[in-house]
Amino acid sequence: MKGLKNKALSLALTAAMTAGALVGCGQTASDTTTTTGGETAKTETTQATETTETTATETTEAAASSDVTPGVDGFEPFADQVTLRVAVYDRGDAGNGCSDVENNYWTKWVQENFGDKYNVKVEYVGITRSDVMTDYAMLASTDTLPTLCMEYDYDKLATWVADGYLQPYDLEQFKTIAPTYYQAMVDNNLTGYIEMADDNYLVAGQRPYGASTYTFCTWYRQDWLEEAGYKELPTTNTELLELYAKLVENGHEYPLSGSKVAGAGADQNYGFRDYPQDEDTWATTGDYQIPALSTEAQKRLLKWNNELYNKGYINPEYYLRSTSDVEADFVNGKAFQWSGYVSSTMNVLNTLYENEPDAKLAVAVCPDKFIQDETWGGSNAYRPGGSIGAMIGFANNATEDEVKAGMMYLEWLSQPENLFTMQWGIEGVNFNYDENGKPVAVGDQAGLEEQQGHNNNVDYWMVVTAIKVLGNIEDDIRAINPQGLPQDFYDQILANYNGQMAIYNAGYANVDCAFQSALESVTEYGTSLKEEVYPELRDQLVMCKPEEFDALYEECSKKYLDAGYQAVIDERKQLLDDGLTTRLK
Amino acid sequence: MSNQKKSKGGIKTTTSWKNALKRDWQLYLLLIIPLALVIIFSYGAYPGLRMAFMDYKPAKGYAGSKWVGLDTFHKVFKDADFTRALRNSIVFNIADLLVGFPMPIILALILNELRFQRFKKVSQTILYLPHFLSWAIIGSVALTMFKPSSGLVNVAMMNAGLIEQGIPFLNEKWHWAITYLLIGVWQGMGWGTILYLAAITGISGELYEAAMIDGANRWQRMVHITLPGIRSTIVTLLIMNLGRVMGSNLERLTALGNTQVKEFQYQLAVYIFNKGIGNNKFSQATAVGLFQSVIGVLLVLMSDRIAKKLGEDGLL
Repeated sequence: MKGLKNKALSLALTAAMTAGALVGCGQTASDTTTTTGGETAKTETTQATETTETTATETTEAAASSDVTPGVDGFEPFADQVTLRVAVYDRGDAGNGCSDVENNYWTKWVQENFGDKYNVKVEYVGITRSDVMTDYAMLASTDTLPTLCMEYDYDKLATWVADGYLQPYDLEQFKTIAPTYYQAMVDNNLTGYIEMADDNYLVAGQRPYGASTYTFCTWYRQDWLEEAGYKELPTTNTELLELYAKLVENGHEYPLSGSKVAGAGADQNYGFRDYPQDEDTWATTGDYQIPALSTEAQKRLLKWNNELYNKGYINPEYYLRSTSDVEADFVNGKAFQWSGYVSSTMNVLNTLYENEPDAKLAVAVCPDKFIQDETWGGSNAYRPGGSIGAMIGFANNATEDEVKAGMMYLEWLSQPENLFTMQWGIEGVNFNYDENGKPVAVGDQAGLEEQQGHNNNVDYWMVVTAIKVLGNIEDDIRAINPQGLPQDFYDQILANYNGQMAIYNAGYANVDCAFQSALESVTEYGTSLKEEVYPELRDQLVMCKPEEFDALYEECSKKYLDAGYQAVIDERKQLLDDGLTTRLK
Repeated sequence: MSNQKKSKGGIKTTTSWKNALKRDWQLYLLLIIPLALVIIFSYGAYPGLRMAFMDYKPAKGYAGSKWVGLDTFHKVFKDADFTRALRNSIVFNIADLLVGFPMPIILALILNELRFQRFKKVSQTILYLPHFLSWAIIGSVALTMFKPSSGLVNVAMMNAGLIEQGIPFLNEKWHWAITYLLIGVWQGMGWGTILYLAAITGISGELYEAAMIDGANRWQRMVHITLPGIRSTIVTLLIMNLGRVMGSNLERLTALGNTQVKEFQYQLAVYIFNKGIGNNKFSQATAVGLFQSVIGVLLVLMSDRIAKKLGEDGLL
């Protein structure tokens, strides 16, 4: 019975991965034609949002016509043992899983179930999550890059290609060894990311529900809201200012807490842009990697922050504080809101309820209509992740056999039964089935020998998919819905998802522009702009007097453009004009 | 014995390697360890300096990276951030030298005058303990203590009615400059006294006795006996410190830094780490590092020559 259930789930999982991804693509239209006369079937998929060489692909059937059996069934053990080194994020204290990412129950499980079977020694290489590029540079300089190098950011992969970290691979060989994986790329319109610098360099995992960001939510204090005389969280900046003023009146000092900005993804301005977006602005300054100082949207965002700072809603010492201080404020009942990834175990929420048993929380729900504030320009538009998950390249120092073992690993992990076990773990230990036969993760796995890695082993299975899926959004939200809390947030998380989907479908959430080659200017100035120049200038802008803001913004924009941002804009514009980018829907 | 030279008086002045090794082999054996460390970790890294003249890519290695001559240096010297870092490094290191260098001397003189041995020992220990604290600890304690609105120091002063608004000790660039320098003095002065105290013990007690008989008071003895007695130590240390004028301590700068004071905090060590290593621009980092070292060596040579001209022994 249990086996049957597992099998059924595995099947559902495969279906869901495809279905979910289709949902994520929003306006995806599939057109499948099968020629009856020949042996080959041709799958053609086009995606309206991304027009980067969505390839017409001959996939599994093409491979099947050769003598080699495609996929796992055709795997043969290597005659001599091959060492496969796979990168895995080491998140240190920020992670919520087992501490040793290179050697634990699950790495051994992979060795036993994949490595031993095919004479491959699987070694995981820990990569500091917060310092990926330095770690890779160190590995590259000592010629010890892991065979499978991976990242979520296209820019980083482009830099690696440009700097010679990666080697091109044989796409036909990949199709033969990893047909399941490749088919998923075809189904999710990810084949456009394969080619870089006129060669095949990358393979890509998928991001189901990529049109929304429902796994990342903001929790706020509903009890504070009610105390201030509100029933629901206001949806415009102007109304929010009124709310914050009342919160302060009610004795909640610095209700928005605050911490310094750091790294990629800081100060995203998607909610401060005008829609429909201008394609040039979208392509040249619309990414989330390098903050878009000098643009109108960024000006609005920073002006808003300047107001919050000057009105005393943000901690005046925010630039000395880290995200853990914000977390501490929230769990100690000193902050109105906190944002984080939804998972069945949520220590922050657990601790808050322990500290403040009377606390009443709610999840911020994205309104299903586009609302833009007239004064501040803020709206409920957001950044969809897109249908692409992690991108993987093969290291320049990997031998032919190692690359082959890498491809086998990707295919093996794509098999529903293997993916299911890596994602959910062992029944009765890491998860249990609910009354509907759906798996529910065990919230607290601390101390278990079988304890999974961060977010149910995500850093191991990210090569296949960015999130785990069961079949439909309801089940998928239920699967990650925080467990063991006095309140249940299922309905609000679902409502937030639906709201985002409405916004996405109405065209207010656009996937970032992707470029087909590495941008020299980004390699040259990207890190310095985002990690050095921007934090300094944005803090000046946030902390200046409101009447000085406009003039200072001009001054800071000039400095920022001179520090390399103009070069980035120019190069991106060139690629856009040359037709080497995705286009705005 | 045949190859040993004898001076006119018949005293051996030189000895052969063989005899020296035979006689003192234990000492040479012990010396191998530090010697190997220096050779491996200092000289061993020298071939890496070629990175400064290459467009070095880690994955391509030395063989695969392009030679670019002095391009990297041109690029660095044109970079506005480099100019800022260079200016800050020089200004702050000179200020550090002006404020920080005399302090251990003064402190050593004071400690030397203490007659109650136990008090002297205890206060000496207390004074040099900060040297053993890491900058990470000093930085986080200082940032917490000196926060403008919630830091202990400001809150205490506000409660005492001494100030109305918190002083941004580490949050405004001019305040930061002073706090940074003073924290540096506090951390290093105790440790610096050790050398001077050791030098002072080498001064003959007879000189003091003679001076006392001649009627010299404490102040006169300090100025005319103690200070001249440690002059060569002072000069040696000054020369060594001048060599560090281009360098700066990354830990100290990082631990005490934040975005509000970057205008002053951004020094060469930060430039090398952030722009070079953090940005995977190893060539740029190496070029600046090399530039820093060359200037450092020149400064040492220059100050050594000046010292010799002034009649001191010098360092080299």
